[in-house]
Amino acid sequence: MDIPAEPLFPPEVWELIFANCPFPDLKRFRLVCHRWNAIVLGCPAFRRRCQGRFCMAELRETRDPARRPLTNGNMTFRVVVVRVDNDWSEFGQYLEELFFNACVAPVGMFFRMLRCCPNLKRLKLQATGFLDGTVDNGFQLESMEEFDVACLYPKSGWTRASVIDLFGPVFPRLKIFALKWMDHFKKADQKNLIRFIQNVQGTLQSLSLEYKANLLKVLCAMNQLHLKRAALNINIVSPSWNNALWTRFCQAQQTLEELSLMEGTASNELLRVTVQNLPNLKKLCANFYGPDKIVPTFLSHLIRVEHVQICAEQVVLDLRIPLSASLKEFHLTHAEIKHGLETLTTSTTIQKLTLEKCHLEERIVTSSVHKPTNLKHLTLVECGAYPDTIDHILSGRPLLETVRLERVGSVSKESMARLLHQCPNLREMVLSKCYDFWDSVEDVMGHYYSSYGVVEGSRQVKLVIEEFTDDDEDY
Amino acid sequence: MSTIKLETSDGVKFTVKTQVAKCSGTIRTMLEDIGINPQDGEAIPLSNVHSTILQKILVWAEHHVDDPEPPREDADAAKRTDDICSWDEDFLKVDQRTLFDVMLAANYLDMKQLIAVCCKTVANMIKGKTADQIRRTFNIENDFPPGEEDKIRLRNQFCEERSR
Repeated sequence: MDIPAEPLFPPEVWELIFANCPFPDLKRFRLVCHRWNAIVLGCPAFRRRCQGRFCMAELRETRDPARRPLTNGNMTFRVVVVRVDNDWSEFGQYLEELFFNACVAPVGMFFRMLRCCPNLKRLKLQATGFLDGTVDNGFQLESMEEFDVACLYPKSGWTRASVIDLFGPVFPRLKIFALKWMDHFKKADQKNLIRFIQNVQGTLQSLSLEYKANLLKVLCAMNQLHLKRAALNINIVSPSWNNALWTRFCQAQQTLEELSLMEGTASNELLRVTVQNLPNLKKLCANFYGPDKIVPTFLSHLIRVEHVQICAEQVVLDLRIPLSASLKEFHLTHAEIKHGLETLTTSTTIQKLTLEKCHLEERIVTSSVHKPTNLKHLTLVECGAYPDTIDHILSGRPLLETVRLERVGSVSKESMARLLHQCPNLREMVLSKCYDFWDSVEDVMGHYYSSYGVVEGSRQVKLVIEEFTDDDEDY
Repeated sequence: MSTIKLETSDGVKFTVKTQVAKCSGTIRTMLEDIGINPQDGEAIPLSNVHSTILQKILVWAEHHVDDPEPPREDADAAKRTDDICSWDEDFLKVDQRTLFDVMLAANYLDMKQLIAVCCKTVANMIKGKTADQIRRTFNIENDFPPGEEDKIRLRNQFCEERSR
């Protein structure tokens, strides 16, 4: 048979073909021939999906004499020894993402590696340690956008506090910086961290600091810092907490669109100041501090906030307040709603409501049959409530598109069929491990067709029922 | 109905409905942007396409002329290749050389949907295969010097698909 020679497709045609292939295949195609290797490495389908990943590795330079295995107290790591030699530059020039987990590297060598990655966009360091050495950080990676650090530590022999500040000048266009698990950071480390943020403040759009120390004062002083997204660990019960400083921070960050205070604790007063001082804020996540009763009046003062997520453990909420018209999504976890559940259930602006692990103690009076709302997505997870309350939450929702009920009682095939009847747009209904619910998908649909005189099989809806099993009894 | 003339690399002239010819981005650009006037009766030269291949491509274009614009896909994820319609599947049941020539011509003529379906067909020929099987399929010579393949294998150990 006539076997044609390799189709001499131009690289862009092979790139289109490779875009149809799974990632492991692309790796294997590199072994076909020189030309294929070069095409795969240069192809966007490979580069966008590829992460240079080093786990449990000790990175050494080829010329390093072999060292003893790395130890951490009594535990000996099983490490892969990676020799970084001249080939690295060929490898590095294609990489857009690098991830190091539980690795150790000489710091000078690490920066030489980075220097060979002119297309790097994302760098993630997790539990990574650096060995002392001289560093040349006199180069810039213009492509770098995202730097994610979780637990960075110096290894023995390391005389500097930390390396973090060394990255600052190398990332002139950094957009996203996230730092977590750094509670071992000392004063000197913190200085380095601040120096790093100062260095990148001009381009930074997203800052996430899951970090115990309060850097508000320092952040307020950075006048080139204009964030769009921030996740901060603020703590109103800490002795150093200063409300005026928080106000100043908000006033300095007028560009903020998303703010998460999930790691710390907030008060209604703090959130009111926040929403009033951030005119561009669209999304707000926060944690209430208990055990007080809280009336979250900040919800009446939203300017453009569409999405609010609140965790309110050990807090009794009184929601008898007007809601701002901008609010479209409301997500509440661990709350005890003592009064005003109807504020949420009768809101005409909320399109997506999620109540998770909430106590809905309030008994809704049956007379309060409410006007149709604009709710499109409803999720209830592990909510304790009277059957009447669940019925109340599920009724009067003509625009409902998706509903998810997880570990909720008082649900029956009758109520589900009624929901299908009342909500013509309902396209997805998930019942997960609902107590005392033993009906099948067929039972629910059959009941719907027969009770409401609908032609069998005429309704297109994704109905998923996950049964409660013995393994779930812990709950 | 308006028609235009196309002339292939081997000098064969085709008279084609304008609407069908416009399945090709290249021809569309010539007509709309550069302002070649088909009424002059002069044929548009397609110097990279042989008549046997153009003939085949016109059959495809005729069949797909009324197709709606395809939905945009996630550029980063590996695409499905099991969704080739049966008409296209039969259409591309040809020897490898013809398939490759159709693909090259589709690329030259900038026919996105035909390219996509050819790509899926070729992808199905190489997916899951070892480097050696691919070399045999396409008659490619292994031109790596000794040791080079091991180096690539070593580097591949540190390349993973990123989670998104």
